[in-house]
Amino acid sequence: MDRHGAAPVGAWPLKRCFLPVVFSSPLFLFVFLPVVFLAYFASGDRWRNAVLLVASLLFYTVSAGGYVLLLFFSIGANYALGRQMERCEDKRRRLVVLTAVAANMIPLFVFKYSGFAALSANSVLGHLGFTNAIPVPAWFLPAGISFFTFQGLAYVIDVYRKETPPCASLSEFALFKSFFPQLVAGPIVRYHNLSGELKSRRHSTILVQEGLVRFGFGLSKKILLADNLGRVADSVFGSPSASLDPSTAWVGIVCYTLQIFFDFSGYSDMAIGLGRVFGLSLPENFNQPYRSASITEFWRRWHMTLSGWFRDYVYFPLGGNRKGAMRTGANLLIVFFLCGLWHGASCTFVIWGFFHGLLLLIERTLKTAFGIQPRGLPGRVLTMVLVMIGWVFFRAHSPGTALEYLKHLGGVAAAQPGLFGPMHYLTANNVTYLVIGTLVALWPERRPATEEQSGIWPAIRPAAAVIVTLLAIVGQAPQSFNPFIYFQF
Amino acid sequence: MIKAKIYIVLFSLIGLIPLIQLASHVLPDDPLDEKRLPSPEPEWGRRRDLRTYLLGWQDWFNDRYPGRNFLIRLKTQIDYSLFGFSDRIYMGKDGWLFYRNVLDDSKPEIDAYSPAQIDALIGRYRMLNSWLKARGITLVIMDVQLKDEFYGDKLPSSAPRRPLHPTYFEIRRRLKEDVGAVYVDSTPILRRIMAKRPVFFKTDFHWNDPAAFEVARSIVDRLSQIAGRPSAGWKFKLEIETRVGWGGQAAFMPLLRPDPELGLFVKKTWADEGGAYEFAKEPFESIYRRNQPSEDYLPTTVLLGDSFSNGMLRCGFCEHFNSLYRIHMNHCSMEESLRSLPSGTQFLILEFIETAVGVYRVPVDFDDLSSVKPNGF
Repeated sequence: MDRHGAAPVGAWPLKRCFLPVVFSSPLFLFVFLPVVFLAYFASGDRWRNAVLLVASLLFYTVSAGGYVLLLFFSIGANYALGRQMERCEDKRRRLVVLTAVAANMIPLFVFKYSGFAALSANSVLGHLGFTNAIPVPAWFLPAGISFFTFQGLAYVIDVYRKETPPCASLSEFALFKSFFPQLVAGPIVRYHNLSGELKSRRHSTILVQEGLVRFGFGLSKKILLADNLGRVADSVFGSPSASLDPSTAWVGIVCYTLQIFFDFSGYSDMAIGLGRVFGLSLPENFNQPYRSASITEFWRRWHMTLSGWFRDYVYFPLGGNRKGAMRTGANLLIVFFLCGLWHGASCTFVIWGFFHGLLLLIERTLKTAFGIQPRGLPGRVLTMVLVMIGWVFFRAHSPGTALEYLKHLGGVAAAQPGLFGPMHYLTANNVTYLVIGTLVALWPERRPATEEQSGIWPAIRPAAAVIVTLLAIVGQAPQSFNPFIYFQF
Repeated sequence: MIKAKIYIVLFSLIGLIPLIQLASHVLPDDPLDEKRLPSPEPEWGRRRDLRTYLLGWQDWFNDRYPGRNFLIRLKTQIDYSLFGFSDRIYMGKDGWLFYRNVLDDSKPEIDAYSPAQIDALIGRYRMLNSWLKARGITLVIMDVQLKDEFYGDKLPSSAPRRPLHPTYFEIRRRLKEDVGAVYVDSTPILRRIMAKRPVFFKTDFHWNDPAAFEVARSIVDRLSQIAGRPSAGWKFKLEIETRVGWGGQAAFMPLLRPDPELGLFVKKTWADEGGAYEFAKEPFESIYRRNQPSEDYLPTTVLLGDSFSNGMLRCGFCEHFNSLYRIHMNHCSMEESLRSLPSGTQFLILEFIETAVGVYRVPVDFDDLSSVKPNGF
């Protein structure tokens, strides 16, 4: 994981990955975005998609270099197979959709999971006396591959199910697949979300203003909150386990809990905001997940486009909750196993996924068998603690270190007096970010639909966005201030 | 609608900060002292791949965009003024600054040394001492402790809590007792004078020049005894002057309005007579030679040191030697330094500071050096 907050924390957990050009980099903010903005609005309607497509492909080329060919392949294969399905009778449609699923899944498996699969297989074979029987491939993980693969899968399956007609225009489809605001960090967009707007869309100064406000808040979430809190979390999780006292361990996990939310939801806000500026409506991805009173509710509010994807393309096809309690439980565990794996090819993510699947299963059982359902403040607190326990597995490098960390959280591990107590981390700035972050995460949010009704917030929101954007611009500046460290001596 | 248009224009101005700065220079643009060259323009012919090449342009731009210096200073100033915080510097009481990475990383790394690692380190010093002794050269270890050891009471509460008896103290004890070299402990010298005046700069990593003066005096007097040249002792009188300025630690925390420090310096009361300097004669950073060597000065000496030695050189240290060769330990390996010892060398002064322990961990192949005679021996 990039220590400088270059990437959304949930998206690229592997070390050997390409970190994309980030929305908070000076080149993006001061060159790419103004140029695209000017080119877009200076163009006539018929050239606007072309401007966005060229910008998106350039953006991805800088992020992934030669792996842009993989994106081209994904665009070409999904477009062609989608069109092919339209022309086939039902029997052949099935073959075509299976081909399309394979065309999406094979690159994902090769680049993201082949190394993990080989290591896991070697681990099993090792017990049978075969050491390093399978060579471990060392591919780099192209940025955003999980996102554009899932978008491609959703498209071909929707076309197969005749829920959406195939896209007739290659350039429109290419823009749908590569639209730079959501290409590397989501939200995961379904074709029918955008198909109408890709053909023709309206622009208005109000929409552009609203998009900029959203982008500004997202940028400040990422730079002012996620990056600063992330430094604390990195430092705590990076310190020797033996010297971790319970209070420091709690500081670390609270900071990480806020970091992952603000990092990921900040990126989503920026993507949705930029989408709005360019007249494309991207779906919401987060809805104050830390206000959830149960894990079930948490998954309705966290990374909503991903949970929706798994619901529609895995859970329902497996039978959902319509085939008895046992099957429902198994389906949930399968979905969350895959959900964990989607986040990264590592045991820790699989455990994190299973952990959430198990919690959902327990909640469902308590509700159906005993009528017990977590709610209110106790439900929120319990949910928050359980989510934080899950994040320990998500953040840790191995299951062993996660368990060790959990012991420190519970105060059951022997801790030697360490160099860095909680005061090392609870400096005035970090406390400020923690307080603001907690308030922003937990304070009841007004959705745009109700904003016009009353209250002072809708009136000051645009001005607040300018202020926090300025602070974020100032906050990102030291990213490039790297005095040669030797010269300090 | 008009309001929205005005808003969009205002918001867009944020993204055009570099362009506005380029055209108007409206923001203050004091350059930053980064001690490095900005990222070069990527060359198409030397690219490793397309992505590296394109990211090269990103690095190039990030190091140069107009307004960058102002934004960095503004961010640092906000952290400093609002929170009393810097991500590179610990801000201690009364304006004392300390490097974060020294306290957070370097020192804990040394304190984590195992007994076996300490044995290995001391063993290398023993070998070095034997190698030099066999060639008639006396090893002088100048031990320098860092600012936080003297001004621990100035550290902020967020600084790491060092163990009461850190491993580093054991390394120092072993250096003094187990190596067989001449050991000059600067700590008691500095502690003696710190009751009267500060011995470190507040905004710099290093001891101040009057403190360096006292250590230099101590070394010269000690060497004159060992060399049997009583008239070669310290010759200059200490006169202190003050100057307003900022040290290197302040440069790591670039502010819009830096708080200057009234630093203590040594007033030069001696004349540059009887000798001459040469600079950058590889591997030597500087060479001082007296025009007419005499018994009133110390014999040929090599000073293998880091930046703490600079303070001593500013205080007239060189002028007490018939010839003094300065090697910077970070620019020249120990092996190369030993191969380059000039003819007639009688002392090798080695500056030992905690943050440079890693330098001494680099193994020297003394077997390979066994046949080496320093130049002209």
